[in-house]
Amino acid sequence: MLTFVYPHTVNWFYAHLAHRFVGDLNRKGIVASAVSAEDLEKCSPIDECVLILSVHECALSAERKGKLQFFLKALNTYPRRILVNYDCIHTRYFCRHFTIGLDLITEIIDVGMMPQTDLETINGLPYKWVFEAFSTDELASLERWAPGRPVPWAIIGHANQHRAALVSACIQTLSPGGFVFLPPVRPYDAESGFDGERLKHILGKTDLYIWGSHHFAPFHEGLRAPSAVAMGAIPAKIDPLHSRVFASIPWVYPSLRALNDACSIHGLAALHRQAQEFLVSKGAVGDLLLDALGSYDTGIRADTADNPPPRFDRSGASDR
Amino acid sequence: MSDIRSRGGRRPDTGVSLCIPNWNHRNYLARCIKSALNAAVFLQKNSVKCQIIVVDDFSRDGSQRFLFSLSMKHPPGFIDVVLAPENRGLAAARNIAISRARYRYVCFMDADNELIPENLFMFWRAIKQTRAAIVYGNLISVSNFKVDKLLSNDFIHEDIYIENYVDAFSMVDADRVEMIGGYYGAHAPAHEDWELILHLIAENQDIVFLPMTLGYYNVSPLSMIVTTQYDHTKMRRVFDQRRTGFPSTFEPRRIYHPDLGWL
Repeated sequence: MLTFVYPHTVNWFYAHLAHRFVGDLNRKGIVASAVSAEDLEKCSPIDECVLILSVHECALSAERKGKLQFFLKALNTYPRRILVNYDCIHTRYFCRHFTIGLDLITEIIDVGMMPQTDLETINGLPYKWVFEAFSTDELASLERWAPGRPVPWAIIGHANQHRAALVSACIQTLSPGGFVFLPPVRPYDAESGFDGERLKHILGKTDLYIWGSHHFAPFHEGLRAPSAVAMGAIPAKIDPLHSRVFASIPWVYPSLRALNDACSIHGLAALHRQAQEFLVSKGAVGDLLLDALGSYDTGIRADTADNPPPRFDRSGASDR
Repeated sequence: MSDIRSRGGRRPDTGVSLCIPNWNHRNYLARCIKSALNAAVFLQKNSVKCQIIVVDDFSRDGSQRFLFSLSMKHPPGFIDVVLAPENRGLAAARNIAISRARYRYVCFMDADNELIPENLFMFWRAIKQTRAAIVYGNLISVSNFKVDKLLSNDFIHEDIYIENYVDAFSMVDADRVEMIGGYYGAHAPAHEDWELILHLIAENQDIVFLPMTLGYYNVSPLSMIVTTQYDHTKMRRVFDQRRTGFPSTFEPRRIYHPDLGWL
């Protein structure tokens, strides 16, 4: 039995990711369930393994419901407490997962297009990378790009100077009529941003789903590529500093000019097909997760349920 | 009563009046008006009519001479130049522009703003389809020739009572804005746009965010917004004194794209 725990009151996509894993594992006959942080105490304590979609936001979510201590206590009943990571490991956002207590997590599974480090441990915890593949359901319903999409490109996320400059560059290099939703950084719930269904609707009518890199270290950003490709949009990450690191990934470009050239030379249909084939070739995310879980040391770390939780940033905002 | 309305009837929604108030911005006018002229070309290609109005608020930098030579280069009625006989402030200049607008939908831009010409058509489509009082979209703020941030980049939420994030550079329904009394600056110097937004909210009017980019907002070193001191609590005193938030029937989260619908 695998239990996935997600923050319920902060950013919506963690719940989506938890249910995505659970759905894929259930299809393969693995017993798995997803539960919000504040409801973790209701789960069976005999389960061996809990996978946590953002420890920091789970704690924040439980605290907002007045259940932080219950959440921490419930978490510590699991021998294996695995952080399922979607953050850049070189940022303070990642560090916040450890401010509640280093011993709260026993392992890290990093989900993304590439491993973020060659090290086998981070903060003394075993680190394993899992490719961010499609789920089995997604594999069965992939859309293809077709001409006539009304939105030439879309940039979605939180506002920062880098992204503002990227918007300006897209207008000048690609075309003026792109979709731009970049509100100030804040928790990204269904009403403060776009939920999964709205995002699908937008990407289903968009040619290029573009994002940049405001991190000083190579970081691909989760969710973006599979969301785009599944809806027939072409993912395009513009990363002048680290594009060489991502050379094996077909949609990372050093500049908008390079993206523009690729569109002209290959055509959008071919770019989408290439991206889709790349993702499909990796299999289903549930299988990849099981492989990662199976190869882990099951050693149990010290129980810290009685330790008072340290203070942590309560904003819940995540500049991912 | 405005000139147009006193002549009876509502203005047609088949065009856009581009309104540019100016006060001592001669050095920036050429860039601004060039973008407006380009936008007019794109609108006309899409069978949308266009009028450009520049209201000079008693400039002392020679703007008037420049504006008149510019208007003479274009067909009569295409660029309307209005010279105010005295400096009456931004709100009054915008209200004069509205009163001269031939079309129901007015795109306001300051003299140091720059439109993205191709995108104005989408804003016209959005306001026509939603019948909103205002449709606004992202503005790219440029300071010292460098993009520094986005403005007007969020839908309406209660932070709008604390500080303004929706600039006047947007498309408004001139009939509706006139109906509620137009722009008013007496208690909001340099924040007339904020005052209008809060007034429209109080009047339960639709304010729609279009997730596209309307233009560039060039930050001038000595612009009015930079040099005018303003106590922001004054606005709350008028519009949210009891801190009860939006009127119960006002719907703040209004995001619309003409090709995608409500989001």
